[in-house]
Amino acid sequence: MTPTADARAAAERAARQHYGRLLSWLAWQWRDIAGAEDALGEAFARALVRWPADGVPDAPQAWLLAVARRELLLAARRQRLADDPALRVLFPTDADASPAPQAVPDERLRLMFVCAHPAIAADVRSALMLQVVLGLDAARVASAFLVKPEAMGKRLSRAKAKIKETGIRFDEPEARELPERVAAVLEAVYGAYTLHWGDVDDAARGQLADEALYLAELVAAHLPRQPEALGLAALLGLCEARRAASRDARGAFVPLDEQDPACWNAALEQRANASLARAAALASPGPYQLEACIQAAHMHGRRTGAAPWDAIATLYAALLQLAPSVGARIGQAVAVARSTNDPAAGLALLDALDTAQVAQHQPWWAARAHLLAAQGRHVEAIEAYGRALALTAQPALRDWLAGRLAAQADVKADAQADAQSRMSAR
Amino acid sequence: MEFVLTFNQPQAVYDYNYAPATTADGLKPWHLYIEAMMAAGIVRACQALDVHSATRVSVREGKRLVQDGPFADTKDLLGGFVMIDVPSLDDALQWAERAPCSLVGCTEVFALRTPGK
Repeated sequence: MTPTADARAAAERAARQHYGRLLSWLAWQWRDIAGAEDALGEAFARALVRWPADGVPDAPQAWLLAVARRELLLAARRQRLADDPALRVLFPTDADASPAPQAVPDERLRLMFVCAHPAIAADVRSALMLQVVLGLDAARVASAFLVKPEAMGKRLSRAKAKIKETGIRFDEPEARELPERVAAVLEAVYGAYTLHWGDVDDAARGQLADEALYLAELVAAHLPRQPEALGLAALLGLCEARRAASRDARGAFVPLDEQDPACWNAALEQRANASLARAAALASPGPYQLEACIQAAHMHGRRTGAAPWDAIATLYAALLQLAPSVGARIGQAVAVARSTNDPAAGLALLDALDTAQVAQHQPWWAARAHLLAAQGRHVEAIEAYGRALALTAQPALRDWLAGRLAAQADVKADAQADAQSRMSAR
Repeated sequence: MEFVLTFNQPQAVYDYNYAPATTADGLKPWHLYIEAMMAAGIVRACQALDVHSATRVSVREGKRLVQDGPFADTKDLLGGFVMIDVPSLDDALQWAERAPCSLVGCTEVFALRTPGK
């Protein structure tokens, strides 16, 4: 690798690893998200110029922070604010010359609460958190929320301006506000996690999912008395524990019921189950906890060789009472089909869903194909697999769906050949 | 940080608050509310408005249009405002929440536009 490419790679690594933490710290100190973003952006840009010449510093994070702080100070001076004693405190000191990389406290939770403030429009809170805390660019956030990048950019800058101009508090919310504020934070973290499903590239997906899991565990660690915070950490932990096992050596998709539990991340699974147990002890069920329970039940079933489909169907019923969603209805349909051993019962539940909502929804077509195949309705199963295939861009999942489709075609051809030979024998 | 809180409520509430027979009851919560803000030392300005005097002026194609209030397109009528100096929007929202009109109408909170921005 050339020195320039090396420095670029180091800067990009530092950006991914430290962006959220650096930005949260700067934004919290300066009470100005947009200003902190500009300063940090400038610091990364300068790193790309300086590092190839001077070498990558021992503590890239501290280097970036020092540069960003100088940038903020320059900007403040330009605004003739530098005489303010509150700002003088922030002038770079000798301690900034070579601070330890871990010297930046984690203020991301604080920033997440600011982003989830009730004075910020609900439809922009999640997007704001994804951009500010996870460092996703506006275009990426926009595509995840299905709006135009310019429109998303406007919404985000308006929110940041409001936070700055009205001096929204960067403190933890008061007790009476806490449930509402926590719910908004959890929704955004979950949003960040579901966002990674759309990523075509396995590596990029992994990074985004890691960040979301990290945030979920961070929120849970800071709010150990909030059962849903624990539930979300458990849910993401259980899903992520299986990520490596969901691809075989050649990168092909492996569904849960064919995975080798020995390939699951045991430490993560254990941590997630411990979170779930702590949540259960607080005796206040919620959607994230129920979804985590469903994942735990599936994994237990895979280990023991007998999935508890009755229990899973019951959990889905409870989930639908608290938080009806298309995803939960699809899960329930499959669980009912398996627990009653009656694919038709599952198909009836799938067909009861609003066509407009599911026609473009890949999991609905895949579930439908699965149940049609179980009924021996090969022609319809082939069509449904084809529709599912057309609705995902992920290569591994596409290959798997194509494999299922081909298998159905084979079964259908066999059945036809069988019927023909029987006809001619007659 | 300075904010203006505007107090908005339906006509019927004003009728009750300012009718001679009920005004003592009607305005008591307002007096307590403003006293609390004064005691906190945050009030920069504070004014009740005469809702019945409301007159709307607009100029279109060089012509002045004057409309006597109250206006049919607004359910809650502006009846007063305070300007307060508090550390953050959160504090301002908390004061807004305590305004008597927030129970029947609404209180709107505006940060003052700082010159040069």
